[in-house]
Amino acid sequence: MDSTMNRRKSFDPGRLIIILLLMALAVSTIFPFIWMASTSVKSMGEILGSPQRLLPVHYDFSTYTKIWSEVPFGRYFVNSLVFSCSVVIIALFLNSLAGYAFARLQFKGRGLLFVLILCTMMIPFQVTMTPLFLIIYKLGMIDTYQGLIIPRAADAFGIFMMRQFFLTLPRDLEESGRIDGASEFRIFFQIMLPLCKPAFVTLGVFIFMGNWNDLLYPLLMTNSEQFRPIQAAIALFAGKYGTDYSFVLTGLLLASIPTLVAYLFAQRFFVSGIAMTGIK
Amino acid sequence: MKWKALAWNKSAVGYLFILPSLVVMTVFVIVPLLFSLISSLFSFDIMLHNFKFIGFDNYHAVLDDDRFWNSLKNTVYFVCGNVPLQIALSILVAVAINKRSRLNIVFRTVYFLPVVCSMTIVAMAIAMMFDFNIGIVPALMRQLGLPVVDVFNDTRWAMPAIILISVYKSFGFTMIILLAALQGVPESLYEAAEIDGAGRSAMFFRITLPSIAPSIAFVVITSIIGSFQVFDQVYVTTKGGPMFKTETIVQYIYEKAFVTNEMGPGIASAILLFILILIVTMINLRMGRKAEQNF
Amino acid sequence: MKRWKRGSWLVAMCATLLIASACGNGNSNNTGKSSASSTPTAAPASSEAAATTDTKAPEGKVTITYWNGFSGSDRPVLESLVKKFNESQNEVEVKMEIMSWDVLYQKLTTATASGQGPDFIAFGPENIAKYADLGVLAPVDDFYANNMIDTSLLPKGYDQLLHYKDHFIGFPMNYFAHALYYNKNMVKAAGLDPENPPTNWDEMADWAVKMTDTKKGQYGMTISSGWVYLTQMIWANGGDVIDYKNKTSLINKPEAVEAVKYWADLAINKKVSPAPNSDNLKMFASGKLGMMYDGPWMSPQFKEAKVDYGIALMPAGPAKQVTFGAGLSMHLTSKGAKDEKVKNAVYKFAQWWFEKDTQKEWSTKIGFPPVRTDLAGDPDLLAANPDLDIFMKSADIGQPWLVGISNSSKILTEVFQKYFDQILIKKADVQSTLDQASIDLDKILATER
Repeated sequence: MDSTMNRRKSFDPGRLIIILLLMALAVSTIFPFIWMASTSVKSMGEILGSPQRLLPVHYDFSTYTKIWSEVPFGRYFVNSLVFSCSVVIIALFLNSLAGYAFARLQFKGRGLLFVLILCTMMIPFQVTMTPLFLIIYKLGMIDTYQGLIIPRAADAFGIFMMRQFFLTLPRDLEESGRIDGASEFRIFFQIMLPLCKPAFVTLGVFIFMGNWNDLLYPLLMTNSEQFRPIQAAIALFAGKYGTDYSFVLTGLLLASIPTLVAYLFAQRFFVSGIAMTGIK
Repeated sequence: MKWKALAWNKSAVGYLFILPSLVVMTVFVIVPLLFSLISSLFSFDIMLHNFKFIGFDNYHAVLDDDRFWNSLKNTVYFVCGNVPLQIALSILVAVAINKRSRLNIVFRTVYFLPVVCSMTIVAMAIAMMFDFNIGIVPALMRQLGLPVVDVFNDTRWAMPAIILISVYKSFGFTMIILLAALQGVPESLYEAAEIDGAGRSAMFFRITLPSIAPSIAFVVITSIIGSFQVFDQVYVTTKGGPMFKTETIVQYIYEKAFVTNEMGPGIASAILLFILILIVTMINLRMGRKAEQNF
Repeated sequence: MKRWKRGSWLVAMCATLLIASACGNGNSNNTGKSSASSTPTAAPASSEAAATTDTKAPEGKVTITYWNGFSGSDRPVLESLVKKFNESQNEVEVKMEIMSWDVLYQKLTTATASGQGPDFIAFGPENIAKYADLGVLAPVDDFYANNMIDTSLLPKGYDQLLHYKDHFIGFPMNYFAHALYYNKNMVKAAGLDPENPPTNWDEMADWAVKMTDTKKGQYGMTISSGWVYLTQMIWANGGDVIDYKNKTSLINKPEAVEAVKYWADLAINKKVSPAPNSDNLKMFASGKLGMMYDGPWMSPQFKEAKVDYGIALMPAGPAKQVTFGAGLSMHLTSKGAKDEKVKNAVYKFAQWWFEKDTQKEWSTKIGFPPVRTDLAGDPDLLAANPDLDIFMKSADIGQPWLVGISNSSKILTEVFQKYFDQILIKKADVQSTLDQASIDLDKILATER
């Protein structure tokens, strides 16, 4: 726990123990993924007969081809991608606008509005889902992309995070802008937004994850196959495929790949992004 | 010219900036919430007909229901298990891998992996790993001659198992936030302490912890809020069983609203949960502020 | 001046975008037309959903939406059958939405609130009364008055599922019954004869004890606290859990107590059963469970897991030989009933579904017994799946349950599961526990009298 201040280059048994512990933790973190992958290529007999083996004796990749024909996996995949990406783009924009206002602009009721927005984080989805459905229905947006995307275009967590981020940016940047006579909009778009890249990456990944992994919301707001999200496929086979465990695990793995890839691409910016949000 | 006047009017600019978000949140969150709040004072059917004012009857029904209190107890158990474990683990890990090195970046990447998968996926995978019959963990324990428990069917072990899943899934998230905070701690503080001859633990308690205290407060608050709403992992693994030992409040809300179709009590219990979270968060913020003053 | 204009323009654009999309749903459906499927999308979200459905259909076909939860391996079978129906005539187009059952109930709740939702829906029997009371389902008396299907062909007890409060409320979809599955290898290992499965309780108990070996984690049979498993034992002892006519509890009557005592004793004292909520399927498939009684959905999974299993009629109890037999039925919703054209289209599909050929194909492909008894003994069916023989015979001793009870889900979790768990897990005294269960049960039933 005290490794941060360990600056000695020489051999240090404490450090070694810490590294071993960290390794153990890393192995147990990654183990479920390995187990999922290995079990997804096991045959039924092996899964039931020798569960103690990690690696299969015979590799059976048939589930990976079967899944595309049994479940409209590909289409669900695209649906989720379109939905999640659109939300990310719009939400980043709206959240950063609001976050900037809460961090840097003075207006009446700022504190109150901010607390109100934070409160929305505490509402379980089950409380609002029926009236939300009614509203979307009354707006005529059931079974449309805008009906799916717009309610997700702003969220408390994103606004909160962007606010914290803008708070950490040095004030002299905008002050110099103001002295030049620039409007707040110009300051925002020309000075502040370009600095947002790391925060955008971080928040973007969070928003993407949240929407990609959501099941109930997209299912409720749409009725046709063309909007069905990937998690619905998961819900379909969870429990429904009985003993076909390799099939289920294949589905779980395939459904996690996009977020895993998105994360691995973004992870370089990740810590710096959060560091700059200065959530502290 | 009008626009220019507006632009210089700070209040108006501020409102313009938050307007889009505010519209979205009002229409799609606040209005539904108010609708639910008001409807919790009425009785009505699934088609939203026959509205009848019944005052606090729905709330009475919930508060008289042993099952609700049981679910509250389970939720508190979950929060008390999950939050400290998750925070403690992530503080330790964050401090341990704070230094920039290739190995630490690998650690960081790995620890964060479960965070990006959905809770459903993680919970299903772990539940299968621990499955009494086909799971690798019980199988290995049997080989070693250890006693094996069917964890998700055991009244004592089911909740700890769910807590374990939650910690596994989310400690990486907390860790990343704390890691970011740690990088803002100036090196000079440690150097000064080292010159003063401070030990490692002294540095940890006197420098590291106080420096990231605001971030710790942030993750404590958000994870308490999230933990009170625990549902997915319960739904996937035990659906509240065995013997209601893992039924949490949101699971209870779900049962009321969609299984037994008692919409009124369902919404009422959800609003009670909201109030509970609000109170706990307020207390947290108070305590956080006091703690900050002490540092 | 020029510079800041761009900023405000963006904000304004974003606001207009929001408002525009919030107000008009205009031409949002063009995406639907380009979707791969040839079936038209559901009625666009307009307030006259029912009226617009037929205008959307190709070549003047009436489009009807059908929600169900056949999301397992039965999904492709159902899809191909529906496709067959759609192609076989040019009046009705069935548009199906398959989702998992739990999602279906959540969607139904929210969709119904706005008068949206399907034109007809498939349900488990325990949900009929609840949704009929809520006004979601519509009576279909004229379907039967016009003899669109021959009800005398239905399995025993099935007509109960189609009735609610003096009205016909549904159409037959499928049928299932519980039968006894046993693991032949375990039977042989215990020195028993797999060709002579138990025919009564005492034989079944004897088999269970002989196949149990707790040291190996091997159990003789499953005694489960959930669902109908213990209840059907109470039936076999001449009792029941509910007096359906008077809506009162029977769960603490001597016949019920005796039956529960018999099996609880085996589970607790002879330890023949794993924990009451264990995953029986996995245990049986991995050869750790000797016997279990369950429905036809198990057969294909056991086959896939390559278990050498036998199947037999449910052994007789002291009073009678009986098993759980019920079915999923299709139900016209009140939304579908509003439009005569839609209603007739649903009737047409329900009639087609009951036809011999349809039932035969459905039955052979998913391994459930057909919902019409005149197919019993059909050589094609038996050739496709020998297990069907037992399930079709079970149709004669089948009995549904919780029919006409609106609070069935509440009773299931808050009475049966709760108190049977107390008996099987906490080893609580049977009589006093069931007395308490009876009080709770009567309290819930009192709201329905």
